[in-house]
Amino acid sequence: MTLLPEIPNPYLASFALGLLYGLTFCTSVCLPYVTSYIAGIGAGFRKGVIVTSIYNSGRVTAYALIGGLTSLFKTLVSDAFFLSYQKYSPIAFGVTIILIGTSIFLRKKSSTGTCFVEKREHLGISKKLTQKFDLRAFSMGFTRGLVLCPPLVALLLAALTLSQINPIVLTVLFGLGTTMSPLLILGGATGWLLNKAPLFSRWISKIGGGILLLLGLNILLNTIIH
Amino acid sequence: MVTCSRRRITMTEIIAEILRATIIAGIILAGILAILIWIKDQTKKISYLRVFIQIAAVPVIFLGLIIGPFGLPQFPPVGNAPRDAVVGTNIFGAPFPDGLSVPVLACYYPSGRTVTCPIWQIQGYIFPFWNTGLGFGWGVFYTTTGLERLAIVFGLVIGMSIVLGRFFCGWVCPFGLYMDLIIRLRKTFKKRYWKLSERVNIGLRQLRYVIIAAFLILSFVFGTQAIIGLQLVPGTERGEYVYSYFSAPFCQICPVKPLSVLVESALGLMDFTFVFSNTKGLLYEAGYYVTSLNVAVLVLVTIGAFAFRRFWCRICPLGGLISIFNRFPPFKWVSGVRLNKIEEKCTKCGICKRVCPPQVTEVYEEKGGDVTSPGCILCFRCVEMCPYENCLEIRVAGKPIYKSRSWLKGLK
Repeated sequence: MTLLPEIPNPYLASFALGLLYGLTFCTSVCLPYVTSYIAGIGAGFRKGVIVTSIYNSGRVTAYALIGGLTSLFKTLVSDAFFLSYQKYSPIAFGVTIILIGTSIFLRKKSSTGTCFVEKREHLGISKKLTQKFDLRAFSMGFTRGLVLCPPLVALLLAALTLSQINPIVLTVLFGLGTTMSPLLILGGATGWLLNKAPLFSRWISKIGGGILLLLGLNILLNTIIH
Repeated sequence: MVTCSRRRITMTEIIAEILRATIIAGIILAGILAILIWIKDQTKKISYLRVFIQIAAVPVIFLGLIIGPFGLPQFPPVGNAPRDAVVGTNIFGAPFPDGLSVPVLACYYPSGRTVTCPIWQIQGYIFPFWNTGLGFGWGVFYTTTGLERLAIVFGLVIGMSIVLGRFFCGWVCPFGLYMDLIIRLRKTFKKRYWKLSERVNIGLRQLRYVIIAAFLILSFVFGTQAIIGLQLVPGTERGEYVYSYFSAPFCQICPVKPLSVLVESALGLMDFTFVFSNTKGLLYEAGYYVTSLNVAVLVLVTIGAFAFRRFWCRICPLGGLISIFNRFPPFKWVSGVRLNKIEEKCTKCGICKRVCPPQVTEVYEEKGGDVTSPGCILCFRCVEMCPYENCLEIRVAGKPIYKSRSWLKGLK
């Protein structure tokens, strides 16, 4: 059994599959969340790229976790298991999106805005401390990664049938493939363009948070209803 | 025996004919009027030269550089458009049916077009560019891949933006002409225009970038339909016209589209009856190409243009796109057309600020040197009206081509 008939090496095939998916499906699925978040926090080009990278790293971590759990509980994992798992996995993502969206929507000032910079300077807080790891972007990516997409399920099922394949390596390579998508540049470009409209920063932030909130509610309701 | 069957003329055809005659007569009258005023008042000649070029650009943009007809359009019901063998169908040796991307807001629908709006092309090609290969798409046949098309469009837009900047907005754009004609109409009624507060004006200028970001993101999201067949917009069946058109979200609200359809119908490039008798449900109540949102935005912009000069140009995303490329640091230094100010000659009279159609204040506020700003449409109105000799000048490739004159001395 091979993952891609054109590529005999399963690891290389997994990476290629990730690359292909990252260029198409992943970009269009993740773009609304990532750009809304970037708009919400008022990030510029550099921060936009960093946020997108953190989001992607969250996804890859989730894939590694799924790969690890699959290799640990090989006997329990089956086709039917993935089906029932896929049914409820979007709940965590939906809740995370709602929480992040609400926090952005209800926040009074942008954390990257001038006021914050002035306040930071006034309080003597170092720049390094405030430029900490964006946990919200990571948790958003991580929970999104927990929602298994069809090619990932196919990869995991292939890993179960072929004993010589390590599921963790397979899923991580797939994840790394998906990170090489236009999403990275688009995230930065969105931040850069939106930063050119400082008069609207408050509104852009509110709209970004609001969209995240609505998207989260949509995910949650769809998961519960179906 | 010869039988003669007389076809019944419909009301829509009569309206189409009236519209066609009105637009052609309007263009001719505007030209005659421009000549008469130019002869009468030579102190303002650059403005009238600008109107001339704007009017002349309309048929060039909509009719194209016709050397044909070399082939029939690939979507015959829309109209029998002649195809241009010079640029419309051949670029780098490959047929390019969508035409050259010129940074002006003007849609052109029948295939074999000469120039078209880059906003549409960017939205149409950007996602999924790797998936749009050779073959039919947007009602025409492509022999270039999506990536090649995108490279051509970006190459042309960036190149033209660097060389001429927003000169296109002031001198070529047909929608700019529409805005200017509204200003002239207002002048004939001796009504004074209003002025937006500086904060609102800056806000509108910044809004352009939000619009660009929004349409880019939405074109990616709606482009999903083309890849995985997800129906994001109800009633947009796969392969249907409306289905593919939603991946160009800005075009659904663009105020230029209804005007372009009217002009093209008037010039005989589109079948007016066909266009307005084919409604497509959601949002497409106003016709085959024109959404209800297009009409609503056009009405709002027209009302806005009656109150404020060059109202649309302040929020135009295409103008914003040109500004981005023109002001981007590596390109900024090689920009072709610049507005220059000599501080020593400026008395801060404020005329430049008052006469500027999009209410740009940088020319007045900045000390000297290059005063071209992202909001400036390079209409040269400030240079024309500046009463101090050589205080303001237009430089092309570093060489001054037009300078302000001390016209106050000549007045009695």
